[in-house]
Amino acid sequence: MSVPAGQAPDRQLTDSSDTDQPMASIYVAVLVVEAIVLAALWGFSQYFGA
Amino acid sequence: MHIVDWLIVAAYLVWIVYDGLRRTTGASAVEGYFLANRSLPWWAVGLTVMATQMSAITLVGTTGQGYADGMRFVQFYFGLPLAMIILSVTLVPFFYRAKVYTAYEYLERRFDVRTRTLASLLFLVSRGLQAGVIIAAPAVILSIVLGFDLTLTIVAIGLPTTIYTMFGGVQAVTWTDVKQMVVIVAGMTAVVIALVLGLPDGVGVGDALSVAGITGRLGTIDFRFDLNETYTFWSGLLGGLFLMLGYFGCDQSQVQRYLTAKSVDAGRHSLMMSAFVKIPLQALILLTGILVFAFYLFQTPPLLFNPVHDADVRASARASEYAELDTAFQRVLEARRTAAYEVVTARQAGDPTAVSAARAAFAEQQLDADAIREQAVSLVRKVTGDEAYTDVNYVFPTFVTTQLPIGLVGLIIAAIFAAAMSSIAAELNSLSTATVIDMYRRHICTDATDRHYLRVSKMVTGFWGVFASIVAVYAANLGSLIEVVNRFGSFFYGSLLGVFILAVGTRRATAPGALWGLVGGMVAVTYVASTSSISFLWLNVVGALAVFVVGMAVSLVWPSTK
Repeated sequence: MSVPAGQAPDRQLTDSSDTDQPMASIYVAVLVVEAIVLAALWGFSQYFGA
Repeated sequence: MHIVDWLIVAAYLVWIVYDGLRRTTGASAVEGYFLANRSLPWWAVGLTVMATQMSAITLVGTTGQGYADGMRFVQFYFGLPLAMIILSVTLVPFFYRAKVYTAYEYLERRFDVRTRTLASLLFLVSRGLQAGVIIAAPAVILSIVLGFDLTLTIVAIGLPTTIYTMFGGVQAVTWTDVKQMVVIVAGMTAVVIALVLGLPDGVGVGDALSVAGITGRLGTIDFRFDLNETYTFWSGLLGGLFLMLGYFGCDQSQVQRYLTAKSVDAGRHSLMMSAFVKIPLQALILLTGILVFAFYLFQTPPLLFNPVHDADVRASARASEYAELDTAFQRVLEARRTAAYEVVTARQAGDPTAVSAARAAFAEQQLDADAIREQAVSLVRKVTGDEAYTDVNYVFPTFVTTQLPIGLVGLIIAAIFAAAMSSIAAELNSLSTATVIDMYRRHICTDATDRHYLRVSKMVTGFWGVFASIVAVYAANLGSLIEVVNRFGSFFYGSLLGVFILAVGTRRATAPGALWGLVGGMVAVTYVASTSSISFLWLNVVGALAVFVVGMAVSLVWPSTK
């Protein structure tokens, strides 16, 4: 169902919109990004804090 | 503050209220009013999740934290991405497919009405009081820094938020949150640019950060395992994980955000936005505080950043003592500034021996400056009787109003208002939902029309707005109450999380187990908090584990009657 931003649809959404797509790749990406961010923060503190 | 800046703040307030009120067309039924008919796109929900979490005191306090203590506060958020993944896999699909309005409604379906009611009551009491604190904390700071009447500042924050939340419902909350996040990010970006441009000629950002690093402010990760330390890698990763699971999974002010998403996947994606962005965003806000510190290495900071307390002490019987401290502070600042330039010069020359000597000289001056400021804060506490006083929260607003150009000041003050209003709106909306759905419709008036419930929902939202504003007036004058209310949150998050772990984690848990587990968890948290100096982050772990253990034990000996 296409609903303009900020507008509510007239009827309740059907279950067909209640999809359950695989999210595993996104979860892995979150973990990889967090590892990179933590490593960057550690490197940052080592470079400027030393 | 210049008239132009006041006009910017006023224009922002008018714009936000107008934008919120034009969403009233989407709030013609209870499901539209509370859940936007489960129609919102993931990115808008993701932004409102982040805006709800980022209150004004987070924005102002975190920059102050960066200024005074450095980057280590960022460790507090290390458990957040993991929490978001766990919630996306577990609670989000459970809540969404159950078609519930509140997280606690799900507890009745899984256990019984007593567990639902107790959990909802815990939320209402805690969040009802916290809504007042969320208004009071920035109002106190803004009224002091801007020289504005405190009660009027509370009204300026609370009234517009109550109006657009009351009439526009969750649609208004979400779409104003989206714009408020834009204002906050734009404001913080502008501050960083202004700070970089404000460094003296010949001093680069790397030079400034390198000097700030001498004080230990750039130290980000602490791998020590110490239960009494709040900001370590392990307390952030494990204690923070439980706190974030409790906050995003069991607190209606957050659960309601992703229940408005148009599908399970949209709800999950909205949480993934925080998972990706939250730590870098918090690091940026802390870095802004460190850049303010670096800025004041080359400019002259005030001895105290709270202008009212500064004036109080200067007018008190101990004014001469304060004047002596100020004179000594100015002398140390001059020596510190010279030492900072020497560090920069030696660094640019690439002379390790000179760098080492200059760093040692700077560190010595910084210790002297810190000691004098500590004495000044101590003097304020004695003169004003405000024993809980800390200067940290006044650093950023005072920097903004005294150092930034006209126009930018208005934008940043508007950003602080935005941070306050976005959190308060979500809280009012969720308080109203829990009151109407879990209490009024469940226990008091069970068979009325949708139109009736909608009218009651709007009235209850207005009630909570007025209640929060009244609490704010009293909380603003009782500093210790703010701390009590904030600590109260960590008493029940872990316990609530434990109940939801029982609900979705095992089929053996029964209704009596959940109820007594919840009670047992809160007793355990109260006992541990009162008998040890354990950091409050770990209380969330204690609460969740205690509920699970007690809940399972009771479930085994006391089967469900449902």
